[in-house]
Amino acid sequence: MKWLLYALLTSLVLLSACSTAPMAQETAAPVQTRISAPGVVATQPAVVVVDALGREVTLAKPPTRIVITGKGLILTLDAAYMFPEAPYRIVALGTADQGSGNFVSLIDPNFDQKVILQTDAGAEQIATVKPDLVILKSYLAETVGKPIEALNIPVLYVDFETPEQYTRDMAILGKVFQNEARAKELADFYINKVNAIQTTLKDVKEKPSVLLLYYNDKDGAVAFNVPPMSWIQTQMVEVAGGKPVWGSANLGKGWTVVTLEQIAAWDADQIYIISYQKNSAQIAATLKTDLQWETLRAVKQGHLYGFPADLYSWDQSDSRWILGLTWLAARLHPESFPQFDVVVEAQQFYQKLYGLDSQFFEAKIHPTFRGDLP
Amino acid sequence: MNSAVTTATLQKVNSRNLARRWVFLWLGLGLIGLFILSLLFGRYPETGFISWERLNQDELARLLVFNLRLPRLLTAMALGMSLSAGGMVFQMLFGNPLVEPGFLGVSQGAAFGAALCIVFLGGSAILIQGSAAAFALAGLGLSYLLARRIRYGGWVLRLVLSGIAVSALFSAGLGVLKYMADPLRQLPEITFWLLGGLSSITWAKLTSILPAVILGLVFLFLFRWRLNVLALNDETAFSMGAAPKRERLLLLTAAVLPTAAVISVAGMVGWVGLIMPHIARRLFGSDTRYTLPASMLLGGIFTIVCDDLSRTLLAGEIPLGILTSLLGATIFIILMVSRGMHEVRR
Amino acid sequence: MTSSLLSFHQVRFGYNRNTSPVLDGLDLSLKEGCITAILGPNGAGKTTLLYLALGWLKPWAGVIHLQGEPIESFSRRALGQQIALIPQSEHIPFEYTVLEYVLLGRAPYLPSLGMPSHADEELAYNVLEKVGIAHLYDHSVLGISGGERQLVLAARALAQEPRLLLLDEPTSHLDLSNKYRLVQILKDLQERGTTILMTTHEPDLALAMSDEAVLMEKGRVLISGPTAEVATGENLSRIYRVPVKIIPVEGKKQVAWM
Repeated sequence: MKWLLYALLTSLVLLSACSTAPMAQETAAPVQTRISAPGVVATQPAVVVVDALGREVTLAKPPTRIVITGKGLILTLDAAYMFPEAPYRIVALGTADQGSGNFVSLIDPNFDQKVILQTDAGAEQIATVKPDLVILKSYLAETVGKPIEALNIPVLYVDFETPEQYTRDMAILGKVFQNEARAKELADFYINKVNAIQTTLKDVKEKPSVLLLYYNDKDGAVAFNVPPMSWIQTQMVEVAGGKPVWGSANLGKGWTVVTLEQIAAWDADQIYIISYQKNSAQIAATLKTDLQWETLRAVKQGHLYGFPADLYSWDQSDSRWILGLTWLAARLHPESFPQFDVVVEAQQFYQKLYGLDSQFFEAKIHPTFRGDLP
Repeated sequence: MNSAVTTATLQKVNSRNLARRWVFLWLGLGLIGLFILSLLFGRYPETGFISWERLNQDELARLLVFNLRLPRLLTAMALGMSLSAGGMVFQMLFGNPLVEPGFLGVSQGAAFGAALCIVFLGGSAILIQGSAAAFALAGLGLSYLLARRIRYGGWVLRLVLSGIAVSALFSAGLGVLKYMADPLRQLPEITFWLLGGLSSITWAKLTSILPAVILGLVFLFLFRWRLNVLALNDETAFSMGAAPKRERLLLLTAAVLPTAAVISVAGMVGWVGLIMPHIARRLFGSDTRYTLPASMLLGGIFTIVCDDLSRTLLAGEIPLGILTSLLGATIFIILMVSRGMHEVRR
Repeated sequence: MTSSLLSFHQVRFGYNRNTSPVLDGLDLSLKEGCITAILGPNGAGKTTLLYLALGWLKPWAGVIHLQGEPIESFSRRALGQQIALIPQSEHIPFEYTVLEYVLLGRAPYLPSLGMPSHADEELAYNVLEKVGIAHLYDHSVLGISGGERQLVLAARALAQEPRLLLLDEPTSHLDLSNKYRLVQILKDLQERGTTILMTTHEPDLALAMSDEAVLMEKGRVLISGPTAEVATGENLSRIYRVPVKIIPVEGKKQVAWM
């Protein structure tokens, strides 16, 4: 009798798994109509790419069913969408929303036909989309990449974490989309901007000390974090002509919580608050009225700022890091950048890299500005 | 001496043993049947079973079944068998029906050892497993030694308490490692270590753990009756011709090695080692001649079911440990409030 | 002249090298087919002596001989076939049936990876019959009375078919009827040639059934020999520090200590 009960229970559980009630936004994939892609050549030669892990990957023909997913996918996605071929070749992606909106949904005309995968989707779920190429961050090689490779689906690994990697990985994408000219154009955009800033700041003697703090109030408790020295945030501060002060605190390799006592001890000239989901300027404004924060020298001297963001924060190694860098340089050394206008800068950025005109910019991008931006 | 009664009684005993063999057969068939069904069940191309025609036509389906699902299911089976066998051996040798590898610092030690190796020693498969095994044994040893020194409570309580302490130590150590390591590059997410998952299993990973698993489980299977003797106290076991300390150490090592191996590739999965021995005892009594192989079969079945759910219930992967805890705890509750099924009279 | 089955010669043993030994200068000789009782107060080293006889503990000094050979020369399995122990009590954490539990006693006759056969099961059942608890064969060992459980332990030891049976205070947990039953079983075993060594702190039990007695005091043998000669009121008073008188009642000796 008990056996019957247990058997029923087990089969119930299994049946519930069989139910076709959709649990995620996954739509049935394969019966998609092929959207004609611009610039597809009739004769399709093989594509050979060396990826970020040094693997040489050969694709029999240029990929037209690309999947970009996994952790950190936004970095890859935002780089990929700088190529005009992207909307027509990418068929599935993970969730590209950090909490303030989904950039890809704004700029991809075919977004509705794309499959949205869970960020932790495994090889089987990805295989459902029948991709001919999957692009992942390099640290996912062991856990997500290998099982996908076991299905004979080609995988390319990229990083997009530092300026150097941007150049390298942009070239990789250029091969993928068969548009190496565009890849060079994009890489040059970044390199030239960085060089320009470095040249301008070449003779500057005074480098203000800078503290970047990521504000996190998840789980009800407020915490301020500093990034590791190896991340792009640190490089950004240095290139922008500042001195990062938090090196001694972060011996780890991820965000580290710091106390107000430590923040006071560092006594930085300027403090910038980063927030990925909220408005960093509002947070900065609230802190300015806080009794303890009022005593900090940077706050007294009016140098507590909210780091800028639009749909995504400009501090991380997403494509907008160049905007973050330019803005920071102008903040730290306003006398060196008298003509700096962040709105114009941003508009040019979106125009050159994503082909978005000023109308689109004013309607869709400018309203999402957060932090110390006009 | 009434020899008619003797013969009748012995016949009864005989038929009971025969009935047990039947249950074994059914369990074994159940495992095989479940295995085959699970091979064909998943989310590709949509949620449900892959048909035979599809398997013949679609190369991706074939690759999926043979390169992804097959090693994954075999690993799930190995995981369930190892954890259950380990749980049974611990429960017998420590005379404590409330222990499992995860309660005695074995699982956490294995996770810590594997992570330590990945961070500092580069992480070749052999090294990782060796490190996992070494720290798993260390965790067990520490729990045992600590339990002997605790001043109050019965043996059952002391062992569980010290196991909790040692587990916590190793978990904290894992946290420190995660902090020190490049969390993205070197170490699978901490959630992997704490909640387990089989989504990254490939043939390579499976073959790396097979030697330890097969060696350990075969050894335990061969010793299944003798485990009863070694569960007695030292003097009594010795008086029956055993070398208690040496044989117990062998058995513990044989139980820990497969456990450490599977944990190093699957993360920490709990409750299996606690519940399956209980169910086995409900079905077969306390004689480990039957309960040890039974818990192995039950463990294999249970873990495959949990893994099936973890990869098909939702579009993403549910960590395996969550499902084993959910189902395991439910079964535990049912077990505790229901009467036993075994025919032993009281 | 019965030969000596087990003998101790100048045996010294302790649990801790830093403190004085528990047993020192111990001489003992067990005659084959005899029942020998070891009497002494708590802490005199009786159980230690038993474990040394079992071969489980190794003496610091002196030798123990089994059938004339040093006890170390026997393999564990051979020892298990010769010597069996009935402990004073046993903690059983799992619900075995009585038959399953007694079957464990067949271990010395099975290879390391071996399993009991039908013949072993039959033998185990026969032992249960001999001990008088055959009707409990499929009961849980945890569900029977303490006295019955003690008999199960006895049955398990007997399943080893030993030549020497060691008992550690066998009657301490038994009521009168079970005590009586155990004494009958032991006497029966003796008739079949089994040598029996038991520790007890019940002098009247020794007087009732043992041929030889060993009186121990602080790790040494005070006196040993035939029970009638050795277990006198004077000797017993000395080792127990309590005035003891032996009173003959209807031909049997009774111990009076109050």
